[in-house]
Amino acid sequence: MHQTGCNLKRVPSQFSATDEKGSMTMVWQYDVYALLLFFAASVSAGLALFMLRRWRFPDAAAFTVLLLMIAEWSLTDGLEYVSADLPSILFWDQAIYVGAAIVPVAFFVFVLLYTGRGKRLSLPSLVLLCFVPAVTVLLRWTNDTYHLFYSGYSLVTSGGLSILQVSFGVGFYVYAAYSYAIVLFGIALLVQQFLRSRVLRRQSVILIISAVVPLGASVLDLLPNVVFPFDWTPLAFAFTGLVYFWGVFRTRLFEFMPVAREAVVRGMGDGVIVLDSGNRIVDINPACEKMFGCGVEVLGRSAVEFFESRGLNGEYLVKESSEIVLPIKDARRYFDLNFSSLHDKRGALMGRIGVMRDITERKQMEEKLIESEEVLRRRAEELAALQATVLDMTDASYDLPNLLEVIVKRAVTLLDAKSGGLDLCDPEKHEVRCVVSYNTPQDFRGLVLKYGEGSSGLVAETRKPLIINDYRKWKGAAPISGATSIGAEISVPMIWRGQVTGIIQVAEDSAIRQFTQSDLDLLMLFANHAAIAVENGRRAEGLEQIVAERTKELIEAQDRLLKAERMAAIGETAAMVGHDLRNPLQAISTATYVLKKELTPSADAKTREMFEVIEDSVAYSDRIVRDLLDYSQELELELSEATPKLIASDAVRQVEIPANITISDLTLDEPKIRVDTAKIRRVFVNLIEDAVDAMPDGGKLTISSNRSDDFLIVKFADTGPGIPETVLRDLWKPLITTKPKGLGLGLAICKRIAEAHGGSITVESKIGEGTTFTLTLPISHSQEGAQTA
Amino acid sequence: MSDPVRILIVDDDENILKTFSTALRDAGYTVDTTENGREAIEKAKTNFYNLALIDIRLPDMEGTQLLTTLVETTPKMVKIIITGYPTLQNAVEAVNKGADGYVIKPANMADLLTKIKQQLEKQEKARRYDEEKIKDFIETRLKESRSGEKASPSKRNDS
Repeated sequence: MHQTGCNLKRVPSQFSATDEKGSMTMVWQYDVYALLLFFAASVSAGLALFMLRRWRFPDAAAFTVLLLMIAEWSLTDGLEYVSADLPSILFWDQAIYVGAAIVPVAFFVFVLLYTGRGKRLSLPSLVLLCFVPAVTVLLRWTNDTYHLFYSGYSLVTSGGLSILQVSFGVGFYVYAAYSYAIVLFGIALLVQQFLRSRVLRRQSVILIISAVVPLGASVLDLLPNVVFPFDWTPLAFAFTGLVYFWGVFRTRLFEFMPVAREAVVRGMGDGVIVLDSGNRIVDINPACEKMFGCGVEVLGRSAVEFFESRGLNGEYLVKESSEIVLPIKDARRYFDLNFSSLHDKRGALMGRIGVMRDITERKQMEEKLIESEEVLRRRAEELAALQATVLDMTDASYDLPNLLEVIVKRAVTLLDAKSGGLDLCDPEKHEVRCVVSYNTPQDFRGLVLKYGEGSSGLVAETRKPLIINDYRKWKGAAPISGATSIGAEISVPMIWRGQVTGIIQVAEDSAIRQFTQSDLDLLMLFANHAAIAVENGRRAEGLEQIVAERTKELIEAQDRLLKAERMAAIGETAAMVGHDLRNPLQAISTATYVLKKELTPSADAKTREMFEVIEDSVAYSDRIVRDLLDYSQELELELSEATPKLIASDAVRQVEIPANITISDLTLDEPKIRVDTAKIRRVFVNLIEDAVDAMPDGGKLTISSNRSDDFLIVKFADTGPGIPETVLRDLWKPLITTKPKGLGLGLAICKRIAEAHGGSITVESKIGEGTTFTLTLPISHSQEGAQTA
Repeated sequence: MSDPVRILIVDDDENILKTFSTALRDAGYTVDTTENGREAIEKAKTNFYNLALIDIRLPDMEGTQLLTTLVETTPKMVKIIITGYPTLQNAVEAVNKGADGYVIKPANMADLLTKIKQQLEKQEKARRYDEEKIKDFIETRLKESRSGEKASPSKRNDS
């Protein structure tokens, strides 16, 4: 714009090729001004090249265009200067208007973008802005035809310089007016920017100066009455280039642009407040305005005053980080306020920037967390106490009464109360009986209440816990003396397998303390464990009894086993001895036979009698051996069919019956029985022999049989002297005998045989009347009983 | 019976050997004795015995084991087991292994002699039966061979 209005062109004329040759060849003239313009063009072009790196930022792009247009303008202007002939001068003058027309628009667009007004810059408005420059170029280039831009021009040569002298047309004036208008408007915007924010002032100043200087220069050129043989424009452009150069490289003009600040700071959800070094508010973003409930009017106010007006201590402004509370829409909101210092390049404090972040939600979460942590901690403490209690209760060292007392004490401690008690339920009688009374004003032990009566009776009936705020005022209170001193009370059932086994009660003397739901929960939990502990205790008691019984049985069994083992050992020894006795008996028997045979023809009565004694003794010895072996051996039954009559007659035949004894065999031919015939015959023989032995003075043995249900009953009744009771008791024991001869195994063997068949032998005896042995045998003998030893 | 009847007694009890042999010799038998099973087997191999009385328990082997061996080597010899352990199992085993009799100690000598006599008669009967059979067989063969001589030419004629 500066050069636009120049009416004089000073062209150096000392070297004019056109003049001398008279051709259309360009004629060059040199001038110091031209050099300055070339210098300005190079600086601008260089800067534009450098700025190309930032092409994608709109403001940088606009600035680049501005620089390029300045370069073009400076260059063409310079070339016009050095041209000496009219066609050349006119040509360059036409070229000038490309840059000269675009520069103001580029500057304006740049300022709009730089100050954050880019949003208003739509494509249509950009086209509109470019309308006048386009017309300007068009009019200038068609001036030879229409003469709308320059109404006339002529080349004036003065002092060796060729100067184009022009008179402006209407097109020029429109162009000039438009250019000045938008440049001034741009400058105004920059000044506003400068005044609002003191943070980026330096950059604003640079831009303002770079705009004002060329503007001023062009105004000087335009003034018609200032006849100053000097064009300011080259100087202005050189100056502008230098200023831009300095701005870009030294103050980082494009590295912290207001437009970025606008985008970031304005759009930030966090509040931003900027203070200058005197703690005056120099900037505040919308978020912060909202937080404080204020507007831009606070700019310039003292921050301390402002804070105090919002009920905040001024100290918050000094601290680096603090939490503040502000009322927003009747709700308290928490903010995290962080101040950081702003320094200029030299490190001097320029001011401070405060960032406010809404931390209300975090704060609320924190509060909730602290609250729930507190609850958890309390629960953990309660549970720890509960666990300790349970561990204590399940300690096996307590017997039941002690355990119940421990339970009550623990319950009282757990709820931090004064007294307590425990009732056990009798579900059959529908009664509760107090068994523990701890720290109560009166000992309630032994107190029996019906279900539904009093608090414990009620809990037993309803199976539900109960909190009574004041027992004295409670309608359900049982008419018990002493209960009047109970205040608050809590009762919970101990439930074991769905049954209320007891009630735990915890109480306070007064009604000042009220038991709560959490007390109830805790005590319920406790009661569950207590119920198990009590049940374990009860079982342990029962168990002890069982153990005692079992131990006794075991000792007895062991005793029996020992006796049996002893008997078995005796039996084994007896068997061995018996067998070994059989060989000498055989030898004696055979030797006697040989001797008897040889001596018989000549033997006298005495010799014969002696042989008989030997034979009898051998036979008797043999019997003892047989008994011993029989008793020591396991019984194996070989079953065959027989009748009582058959067995009895066989047996009678085997026994030598003295003459003074009569045998009356009344046995029957039926029933048929399946028995080990040989062994049963042994029993018969034994019993007959015993009867014979029992009647040394003569008598009668009656053998009879009859059937009773599934049993065969055989009776051996003698008319002997009878067996004394003392003997009867041990009659069946082995090795007990009343007879001078024998080991006393006979009856024991009989008993074993009878039992092996699943039968029995009993005895009845009356002193002076006789003895009756009764053998009972099952008719259908089952094989199972056969293995009994 | 022209040949004397020979009896072998196997028992480790010296007195039993003495009394048994006395009683048996008195009864007219030729008696040999041994105290163990090994010797009994040797003797039975080299000598002929009509009968053996075997104790079921011997110092070097079980009586039943000896019995088994003797049944193999001298099947026709009568074997009577004498035992101090009268169990069913013993008896069954003895009989299965080829015993001809089973006697329990102390045995009545008269009974034992009767039993021996019966067994020997049975043996003799069998021997005689065998001899007669052999005689019959020889006679039959002779007759056959004689008639065969006659028959054979006719046979030839027939053909």
